[in-house]
Amino acid sequence: MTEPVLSVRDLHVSFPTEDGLVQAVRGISFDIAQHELMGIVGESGSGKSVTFLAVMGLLPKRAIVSGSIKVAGEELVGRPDKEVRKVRGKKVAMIFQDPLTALNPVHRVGDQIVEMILAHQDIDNDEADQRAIELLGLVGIPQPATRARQFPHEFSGGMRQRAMIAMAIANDPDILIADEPTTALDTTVQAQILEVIQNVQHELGAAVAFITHDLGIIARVADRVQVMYAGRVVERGEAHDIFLRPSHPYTFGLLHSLPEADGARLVPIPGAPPNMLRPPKGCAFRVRCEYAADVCASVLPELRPYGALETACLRVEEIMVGMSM
Amino acid sequence: MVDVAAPRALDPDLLVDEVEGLIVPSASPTRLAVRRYRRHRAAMVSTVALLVIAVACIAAPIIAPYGENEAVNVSEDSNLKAIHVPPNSQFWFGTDSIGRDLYSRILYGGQVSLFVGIASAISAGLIGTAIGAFAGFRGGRIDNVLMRGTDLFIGLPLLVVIIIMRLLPEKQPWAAAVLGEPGSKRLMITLISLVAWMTTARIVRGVVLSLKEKEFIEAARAIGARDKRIIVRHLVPNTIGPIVVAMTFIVAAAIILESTLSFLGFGLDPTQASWGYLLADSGTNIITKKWWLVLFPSLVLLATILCINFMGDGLRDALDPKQEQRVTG
Amino acid sequence: MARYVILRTAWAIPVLLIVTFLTFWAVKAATDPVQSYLRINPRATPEKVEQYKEAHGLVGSTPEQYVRWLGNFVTLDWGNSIKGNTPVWPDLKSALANSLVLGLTASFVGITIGLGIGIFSALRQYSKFDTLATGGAFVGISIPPFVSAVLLQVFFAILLTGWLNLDTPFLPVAGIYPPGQTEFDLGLRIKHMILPVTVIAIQIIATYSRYMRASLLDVKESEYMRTARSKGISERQVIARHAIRNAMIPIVTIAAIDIGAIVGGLIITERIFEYKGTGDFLLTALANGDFPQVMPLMFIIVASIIVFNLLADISYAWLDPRIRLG
Repeated sequence: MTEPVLSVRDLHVSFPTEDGLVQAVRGISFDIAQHELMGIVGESGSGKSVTFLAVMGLLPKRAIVSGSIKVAGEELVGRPDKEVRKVRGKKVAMIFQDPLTALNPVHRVGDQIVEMILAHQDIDNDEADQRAIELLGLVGIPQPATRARQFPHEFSGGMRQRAMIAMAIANDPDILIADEPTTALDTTVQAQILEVIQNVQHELGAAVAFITHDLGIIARVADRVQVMYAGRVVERGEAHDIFLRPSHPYTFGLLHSLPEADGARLVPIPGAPPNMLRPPKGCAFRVRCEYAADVCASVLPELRPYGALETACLRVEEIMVGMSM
Repeated sequence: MVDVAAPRALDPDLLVDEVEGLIVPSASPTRLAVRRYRRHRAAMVSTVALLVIAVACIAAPIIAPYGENEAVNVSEDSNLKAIHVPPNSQFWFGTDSIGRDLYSRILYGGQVSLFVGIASAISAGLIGTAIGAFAGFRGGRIDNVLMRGTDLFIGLPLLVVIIIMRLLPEKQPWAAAVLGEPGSKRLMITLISLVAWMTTARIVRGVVLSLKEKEFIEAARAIGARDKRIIVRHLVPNTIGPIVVAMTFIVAAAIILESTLSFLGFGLDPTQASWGYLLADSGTNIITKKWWLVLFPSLVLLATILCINFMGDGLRDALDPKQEQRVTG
Repeated sequence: MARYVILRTAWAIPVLLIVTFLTFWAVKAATDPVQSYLRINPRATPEKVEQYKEAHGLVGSTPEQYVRWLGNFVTLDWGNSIKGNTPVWPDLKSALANSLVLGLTASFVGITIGLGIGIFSALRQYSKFDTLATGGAFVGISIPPFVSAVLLQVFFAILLTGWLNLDTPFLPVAGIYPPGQTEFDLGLRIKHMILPVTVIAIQIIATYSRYMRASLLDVKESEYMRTARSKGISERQVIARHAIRNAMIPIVTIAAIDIGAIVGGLIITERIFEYKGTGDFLLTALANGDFPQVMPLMFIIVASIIVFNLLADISYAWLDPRIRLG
């Protein structure tokens, strides 16, 4: 079996704050295989973004990171920034949620792509300029030569995001991390961007970590799905399996809170995510879970296989039996 | 027998208890502001220091060893005045060219300087609020004209403008009637207010304009409330913070302006010797090496202005807090 | 961009005329040239006074007088002073030159040091350096210029000279040159400028370090900083190309405006150090009610401010594409 493009083992990320230590990521492990698009689902505070910022090495200096992060076989945790920089932007690249604020308003779009290129390729400026124009064309921006000389605010939202993607793939990364890339866009534009990302996956052969809270999007593009809650992974599996027969109560809840085409009532999950300053002992989802029992309060659930899926619910067997009655 | 996991009703108490930290005891905004102000060490020290200075100056008639204009005799049985005495145990800050105790003069001078500073800030604040509110409410062309007007003013060199305006009442009787007699506190306060009202005007105008846009105006209108009343009710809590901060800084600026003008001879008349006036003869004093006559008024001025600026900074933190530490989510 | 420039320039001209007209009216009221003339020539007969008024364009309504004066001004016919009856232009010209030298030197020194401190403070927020720099900046903006000037004079002319037992003051505290010197001497010139430049620079360093710190802190939190880092370039490049470049935009605007204010802004320092610049010139002329001297200088001051404000707007548009094209 070929080596996974991204391999994370027992990752913990905490932030010291005035009020105490915020435990954003509390021990997660996963692999992303080459060419696969892994959907990372969770609400705000689940730790999904923090995880991948840790992969990129973009967390603030005060963040405390432990565990293992391997990109294309190279371990990144504990390495000095000088060495991580060689990987960042080259083997792994990231696109962010709001392309308007994520691009520098006073630099031309082409120049910002060139900056990415020259950071890792030893070519001259003119060649880099050319390459930047090509990349803009690759992501479907018309008249790329003119566009490259323009500034970000002259682009529409969708075009800006395409430009960001062009920048991210400039050095042909092994894995592209997309952090809520469509959240700030109109629905019609969302579909276009999804297409661009899928092209990146299939034509350029990059793996994609697609972070989102929107299950609808996941259903459209993901090969595998990882559901996160309160800094831990609660369920993982093939997209098909997750959607058809989710095993974790949180995933049920997420699916049932989607607006249904037949007009069935929205059923939101009651309550709110826990305070990561003092994460609860045991299962963090317990207080919002209809199926919680005493054992859920005392034991921190680990991911274990359940059929085709991996799940972190201690009572999954009983719940499933109960539901089939 | 398999334990049937029937769904159970969610316990609301559990939700509250277990989800720690979610329910935060709410403190009133004033208490939060006071707490933030307390954290600003420089502001706290300055508040105390300024209080000491202010109280001492107000209590001048009681605690000053000599009169404000009293030329002190060298000894009880002599009519010679104690001229240019360097600081000693009798005259803590020394005496001046007429034999007046500098320490006493500084105490009395503080009354003038502080009064003019505070009065100017209040006056500028009121004028600014009125104009800013007017411009914001009316909007449209009036607002445009007023704002362009203030833009013009902001550029001009402050000192030059004030000096010219200061000369008007001397030469033109009508100006003296409108603005104040030359050398009077009223004139000084009026002049400073005329150049300092822009900041508060901008703040108030900004808040009024943004309030006009807010959706709740629509909602309130829907239930029949009148625009003006809504805006006024929300105006005060939203502007009070920035206005207080702005006015604090205006006090400092006013003291600087007044002392500079008095130093140059365009300030208050000698019977109301402010700290700036005490420094007016610094040129001669330096040549004649009477360093104490320059050092002490300077230090008091500097200390007072510094304290006011620190307090303003503390108030700004307290009433308009910047972003707290962010944790990526 | 061109349209923006033309529009702003076109707007500036009427502003210039209006403001200078108001200034004309105010200065005339504040100096009352007829009264000044009478003060200098107390025995002048009413006919003489009328003659004087005719000769100096003081007849007719104020707008008429203004237009006449403006005509003379642009043809550099600035007449003579009331006191001493000397031509205005040569004295004013040398005063202008002196002020520009002083102001530009102080600005250059002050802005460079101020920006440096500001950048360092922002990059090492809350460090000892930052706390010290902030404290220093507060002191800097809290000292009225005349206070720092006299304190420096006390220190350098009295205290230090005394401690070192010198005959002449350690640093000169008055004049552009020592009395009697008429030729150009760079060393002496610089020596005499040290204290005045320091006084002015203190204020500049204090304000610009705060501006830069605030601007840079603001920019540092922007999303595009994270994007820049995600490219794998060095932190130094990230800061230089993205943080500082963006943070400088408002600073350039402010600097342009400050430079425009030099001509009228050095009054105190020049007065205290007996530096023969425009500030000193203006103060003396106003005290004498010398209208022919005051008005041309006021026009230059106003024009300078308006022109540099215009330049500031244009430079802001040039540096920030969002303004230019938005």
